[in-house]
Amino acid sequence: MTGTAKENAKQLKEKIEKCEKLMKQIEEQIARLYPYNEGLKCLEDALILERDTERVKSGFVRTERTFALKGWLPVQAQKKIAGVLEEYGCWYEFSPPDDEENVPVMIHTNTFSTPFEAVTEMYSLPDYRGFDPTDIFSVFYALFFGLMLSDAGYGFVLFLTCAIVLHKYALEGMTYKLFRMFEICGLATVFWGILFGSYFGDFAETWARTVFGKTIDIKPLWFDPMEDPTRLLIFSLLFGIVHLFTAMGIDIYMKVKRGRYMDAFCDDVVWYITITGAGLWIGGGTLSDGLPGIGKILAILGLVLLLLTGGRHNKGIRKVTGGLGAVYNITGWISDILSYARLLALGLATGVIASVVNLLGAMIGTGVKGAAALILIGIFGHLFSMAINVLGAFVHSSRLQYVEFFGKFYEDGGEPFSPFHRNTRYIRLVKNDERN
Amino acid sequence: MISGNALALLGAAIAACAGIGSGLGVGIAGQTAAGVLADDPKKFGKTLLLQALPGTQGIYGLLMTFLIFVRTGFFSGNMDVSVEQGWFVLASGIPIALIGIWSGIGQGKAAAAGIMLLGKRPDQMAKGIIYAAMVETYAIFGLLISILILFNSEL
Repeated sequence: MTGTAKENAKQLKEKIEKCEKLMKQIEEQIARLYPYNEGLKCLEDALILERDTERVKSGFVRTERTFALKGWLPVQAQKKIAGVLEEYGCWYEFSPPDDEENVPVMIHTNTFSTPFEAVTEMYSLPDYRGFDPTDIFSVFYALFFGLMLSDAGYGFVLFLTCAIVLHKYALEGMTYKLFRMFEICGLATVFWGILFGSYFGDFAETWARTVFGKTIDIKPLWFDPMEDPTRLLIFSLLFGIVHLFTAMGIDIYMKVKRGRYMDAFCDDVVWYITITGAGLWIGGGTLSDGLPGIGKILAILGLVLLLLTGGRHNKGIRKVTGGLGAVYNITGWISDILSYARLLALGLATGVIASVVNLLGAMIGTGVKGAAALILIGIFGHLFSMAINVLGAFVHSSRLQYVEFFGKFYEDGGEPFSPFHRNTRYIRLVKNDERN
Repeated sequence: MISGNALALLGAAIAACAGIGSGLGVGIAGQTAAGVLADDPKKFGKTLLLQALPGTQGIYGLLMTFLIFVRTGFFSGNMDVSVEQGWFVLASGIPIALIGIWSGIGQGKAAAAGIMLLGKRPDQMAKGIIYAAMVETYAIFGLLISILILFNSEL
């Protein structure tokens, strides 16, 4: 570089200006090409379709004039596919899979549970010879989610948001299922919120107190967990036992189907007896005086059976240690059941955080000032509270399914059934009769 | 002589310390998240979700502090806690504080690993979330014990 600093600075500035002009020109050039954008996207998708078709074709066994095609199909689609094959005059044959074959899996559920397939898919698809529990756990999922979010206001906002998004955007696949699932969970939350008398925490009470200086009391339909958390704790654990017993029921079904009656009895039915007995022994006294006695007998009977049958697959001394091991499993059961205490803890968390938000608003002042503060702080505070609690409810409702429920019976490892389809990137192809 | 009010407030202050765990945990997850983001900035939303998971311990601590404030009448200005009740309230602050601190750190590490999983295999993200949520169970137990002590302290 030569010359004075001033000259150099001037030169550099000119250079920068030139470059900026050039950039603008290039940007304009690109902008002029914008109309071709759509066309390029269509072209890319068309090429993708062509490529995929060729790729499938290359897997055919062919001679000069014939080709053979082999693939999986869901039973439900058999008629339709047979129709198509008839139409083109093909020779075809359907056969059920061999015992050894690794069959790809497609989940098939009733309409209510369809969105909950997302939860199953996130875990891992069930094995082809396993059991798809989506229909069964979907009800528990929604109820547990609602119990953990436990505020009618939040539930309604969640429901409304999902409903609007689903109405406005044509979502597909996983995203669609998740939104639809949260819509249902929002309704379940409204249900629990009304039972517990929680509408954006204690917003109405706080509003009446700070703005009008009056005291109102919104009665919960059932009871307020903040007043009596121990009661909700007991119910949470009871819901947990029902959930776990359902899972065990599935395990029995699977074992009976495979002819393993002894295993079904020793691994599951005995636990039914033990847990029911222990439950009655501890808590039956509040219902009737005779129950703890019956419970005691049942629990001891169950434990003895466990001790005797736990080592049935072992030999020699390990028959005894196996029995002890089976009895020791009771610690696993206790931790499984206690795990449902999160239903109470997360439910309370929502209620308390919501009240804190309202309290912060009420601290600013009374009358009009208080009203403004309640609304302003309320919008941000409740949005934050809702976000954090929806995340918590989603994560922990899933966990209860994955760890506690699936842990009892689930056989995962199914390969997803992914038939040849139009896998386009930009353009969505819709059949005319599918649009309506 | 220590008054019951002072003991109760000490309990509230201890409960709020659960935030230490969240602070550290969210920090650990955040470091990893920034690293993953360097590869693919589109993952910001998803990493943020995982980073938020260790934040709950702090919220539980805050929750417990406010529960103590409300129960002891700290906000309404007529706080009158006997020395025995004061000790109860002090005890109620300890479980969530201690468990919150360590489970927050642990959850932060699990969340960080989940974020790395997200970086390599985005389709497996849900499992990363569940791993981190496994840790939170113990914070929830801590909160539960804290709440049970407070609500049975005859305030």
